[in-house]
Amino acid sequence: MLEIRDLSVSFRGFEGKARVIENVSLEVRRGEKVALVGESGCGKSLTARVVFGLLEGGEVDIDGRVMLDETSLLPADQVVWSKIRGCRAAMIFQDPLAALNPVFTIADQMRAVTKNQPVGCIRDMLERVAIEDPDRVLAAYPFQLSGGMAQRVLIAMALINEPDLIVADEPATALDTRVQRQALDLLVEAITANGSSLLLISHDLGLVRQYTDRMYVMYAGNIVESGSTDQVLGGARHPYTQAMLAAVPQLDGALPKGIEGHLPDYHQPPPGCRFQPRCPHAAQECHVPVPLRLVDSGHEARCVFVGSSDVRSQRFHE
Amino acid sequence: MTVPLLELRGISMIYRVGTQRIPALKAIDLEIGRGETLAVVGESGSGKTTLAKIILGLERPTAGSVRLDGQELTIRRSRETRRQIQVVQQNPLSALNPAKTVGSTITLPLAVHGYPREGRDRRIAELLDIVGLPPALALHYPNDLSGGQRQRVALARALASNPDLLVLDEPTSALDVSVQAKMLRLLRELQVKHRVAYCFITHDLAVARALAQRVVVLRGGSIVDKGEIGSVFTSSRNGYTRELLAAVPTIK
Repeated sequence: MLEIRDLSVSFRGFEGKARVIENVSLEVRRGEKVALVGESGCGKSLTARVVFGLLEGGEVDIDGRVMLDETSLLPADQVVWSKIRGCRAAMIFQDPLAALNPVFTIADQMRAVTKNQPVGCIRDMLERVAIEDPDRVLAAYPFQLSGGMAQRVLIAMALINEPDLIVADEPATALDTRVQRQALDLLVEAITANGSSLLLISHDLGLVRQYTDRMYVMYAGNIVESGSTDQVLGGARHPYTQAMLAAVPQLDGALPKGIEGHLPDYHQPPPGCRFQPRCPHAAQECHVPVPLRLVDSGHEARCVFVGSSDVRSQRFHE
Repeated sequence: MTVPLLELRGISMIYRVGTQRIPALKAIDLEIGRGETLAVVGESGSGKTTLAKIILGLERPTAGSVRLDGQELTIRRSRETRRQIQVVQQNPLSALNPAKTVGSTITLPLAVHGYPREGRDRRIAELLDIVGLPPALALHYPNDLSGGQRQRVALARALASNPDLLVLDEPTSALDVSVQAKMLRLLRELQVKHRVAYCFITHDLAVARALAQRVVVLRGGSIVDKGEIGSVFTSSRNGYTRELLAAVPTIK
């Protein structure tokens, strides 16, 4: 349903060209819940911004193909966007209080999104996301809501036009674990009921494990591993995915391990594998571009030490 | 029995908002030993940050006493007491002055606590080295740094006065997991080397488990569970603690 093919994004700046996203391909099928994971600065949110056309203009070059069903979103004009954003695809941003306009009530903001649906529909929607006193919330300004409540309002806003695709960028990371889980439970329940799809952008592998069917791991603007969530988290093959897993604190009390080094300078990314300067297994072969290699049916990793056949040509075949 | 480094007895805090009285903490008893880490876990609104403010002397408790090395502390604290207790906050960007370089940020506690002027530059380099940052960073502004680097600067500033107790208020929750892991390792290493005690406030139980020896669980301003962290996390009979533990997402 959402298909991103060979997407590259670069910024022209004072220090030259920063090639931030390189040849990213990913897809989200109808009814599927897909995660895009990686650390801050690896290009996850940028990818989401491209999908919603929030990056056009200015000193930025975008290449590749982005399709929502039959509609091309790259490039797209305002007429197309007005039919896509908030209707066929909706985005939930990270910080709920920053995403809401502080000077309008929740009722005003939700009415603006729904294009004149009766207040009754809006109230029903708020009830669906477990807001017990919708009338108080509708009359409230954002600052009068708790973080968890504001997050639910955003979820309600994203769901109200029953979009085919919801992109959630680090939803509820500002909230407590239990409140965050409640919010995501509601979101995923509603998405499942509507038969829509979810692209969950997160660095929290626990959430990814719990809520998604398939996942893509992104490092420095490259997809380095993809597959079903079970395949990737249960049998990670790319050293970066393995390092991310080792960094997650567990209840066994062991000190988690960090990843040495930093993300590369996007003006001069390392040749070949972008993770190679930080990789404990790096070898000579890693200095040339590495294709995605097939680990198992549906499971691919961009590492020279995986399998042998180049599966790039057979990607996305069903 | 030896006197604990920090001892809270019967701490209560009631905030007055208009005519309302909102109890934030109810009869809190806890102690932290020298060189030990006590984790304070709980959800938003459980009173964690109020507790931190009382330990730091930023709020006057409605009732109860705070003792450091057996000496009762009031809200008016001596310079020496302030030297002994330092803080690292959750958001390093708002905790660091954007208009000051890293070097001048770390100079301030050195100056306040009477570190000789001529040795300060060397001490700054030393402190940056302790937290794993290159000395050249002293000339940079917080805006030039990554989240993990900023938090290390905040930690270097807190260590500048050689404190006995660090109050760490969610110090890693704004960081990426791999950066968080490095920060946790650094905190452990510093504790072993410098015998500084930590009051580690967090809502992340796995992070608490990685760093602390003992834990108190706060709910609605009361301690509902406490003890050695391994046994609390494996065999607590408290329903709330178990609920919090069950909410920790697993990846395996």
